[in-house]
Amino acid sequence: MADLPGPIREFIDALTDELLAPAFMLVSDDGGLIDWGGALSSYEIGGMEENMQVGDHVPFLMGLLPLDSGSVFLPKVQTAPQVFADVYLFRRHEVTWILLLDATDDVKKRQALQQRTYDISLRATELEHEGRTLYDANSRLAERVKEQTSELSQTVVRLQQELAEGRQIEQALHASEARFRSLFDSNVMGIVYFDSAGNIFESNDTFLQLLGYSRDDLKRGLLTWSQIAPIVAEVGSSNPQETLRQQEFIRKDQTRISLLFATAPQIEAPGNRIGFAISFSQPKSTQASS
Amino acid sequence: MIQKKICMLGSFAVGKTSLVRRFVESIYTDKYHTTVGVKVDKKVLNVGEQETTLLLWDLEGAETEYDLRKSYLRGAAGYLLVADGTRKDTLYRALSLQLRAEETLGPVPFLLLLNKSDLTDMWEIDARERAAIEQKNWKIIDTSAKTGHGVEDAFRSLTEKMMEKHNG
Repeated sequence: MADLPGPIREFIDALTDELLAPAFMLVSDDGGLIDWGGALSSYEIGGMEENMQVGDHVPFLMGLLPLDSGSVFLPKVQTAPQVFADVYLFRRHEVTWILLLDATDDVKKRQALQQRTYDISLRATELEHEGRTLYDANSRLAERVKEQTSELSQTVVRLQQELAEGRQIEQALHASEARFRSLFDSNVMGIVYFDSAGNIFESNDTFLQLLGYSRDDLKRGLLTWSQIAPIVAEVGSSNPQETLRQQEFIRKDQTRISLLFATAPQIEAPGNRIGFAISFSQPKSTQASS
Repeated sequence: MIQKKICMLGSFAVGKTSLVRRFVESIYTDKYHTTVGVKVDKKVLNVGEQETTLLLWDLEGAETEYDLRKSYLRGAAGYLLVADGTRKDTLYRALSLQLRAEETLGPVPFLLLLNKSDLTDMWEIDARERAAIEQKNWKIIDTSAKTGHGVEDAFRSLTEKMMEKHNG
C-alpha cells in the first residue's frame, strides 16, 4: 500500500467510507474509552463518553478487553436490528483499537442462501421422518395382513372341511332317499304322503290298490283322508314315535279294509306325514293278482 | 455488578435463538430464521443475593467443530450446548462442539439442553444415549422454547454453576 500513488489511496479511502462505513474505538488496558470516531452511529452505537467502560456500554466487547496481544476478529456481529459489523480488535502501543466495518449486505446475502439451504435440509429431515413413519406403518400393515391371511387360510380349511362333511351328509341323504325310493317303488307295503289338512298328495301303487283307487283318482284329488278314514278324528298323529296300529279304511267301492298302519313325520317337510300300510288279511301277492 | 458471558452452541435449527428469545423476551415464533454471525443479548438474573448480568451470545449454527469460531468464545464464563431431540445427529454435533469449546475455554461450566421437548413423540434421542452422556457427569435439561419448559431452569442452573466458580 505504501507505494500506491496518492490518488489511488484517496480512491480506496473513499470506497471504504462508502461501502464499509468504518468506525473505531480506542480503549486503554483498564477498559476505559480514550477515543472514538467514524460511522459509529450507523451501528447504532452512541452516547460515548471519555473514560467510560466500553464493555458496559457495548455488550459484545465485554470479556474481550483488555486484549493482551495479537488481534481478534469477530465476523458478522449484530450491533442493532438488521445491522451487522465485522469487528477487529488489535493492540498497538499499549492500547486496543477496535475497528468496525459494515457487514450488513454480506450478512443479508448469506442469510438468504443459508436460510434456503437449511430449509431444504430440514425438509429433507422431515421427509426422512415421514419415510420412516410410513415404513413402520407399512411393516405393521404387512404383519396384520400376514396375520389375517393366516386366519383366512384357517377359515378356508375349516370351510373346506365343513363342505366335505356337508357333501358326505348330502351323499348319505341321497343314499337314504334312494333306499327309501326303492322301498317306495318295491310295493312291499302301501306308502302314502299327506298333509295336516288331510290332503293326500303322493302314494305308491300298493296303497292305491289296497283302497281300490287308481293313480288318476289320486291326481284328480279324489283320494282324501276324510274319504278313506272318516272315523279317525285326527289326521295322523303329531307324535313322531307313533306305534303300529290296526286301522280300518274305506275303499273306493265303500267296502272296508283293516290295515296295519303307522305314520311318521316327513323330515324334509314339517307338518306333512308319511303313512305305512300293510294288509295282514290279504298278502300283497294275492292282492296284486286279484 | 457481575457480568457473565454465555455462548449458545449447537447445530443449525436446534432452537438456540428461540431459547434466548424465550428467556429474554418471553417470546416464541414457529417460523425458523437462520442466524448469521452472532447476536448478543442481555438479561439480568438474581442468583441468591447476587445480581448477575448475563450476556448471551447466540452463535450461528455450527455443523462441525471447525465451524465454531474461537474468537466468539473468548471471555465466555459458560456455555449451553443445544441439541434438537428430534434430530439425533444434532446431539453428536453438540458433543464435538463441546470438545472444541473446552479446548478453547478450559473447564468452564456448561449444560446440555435437549430442546423441543414439546415434540417428545418424535424424539430420536433415547434413554440409552442419555444414560451414556450422563455417565460423563454432564447435566442434561429437557427444554422447549415453544412452551417455555425448562428454559428458565437451564439459564439459572448454568448461572449458579458460573457463580459457584466465580465465588469459589
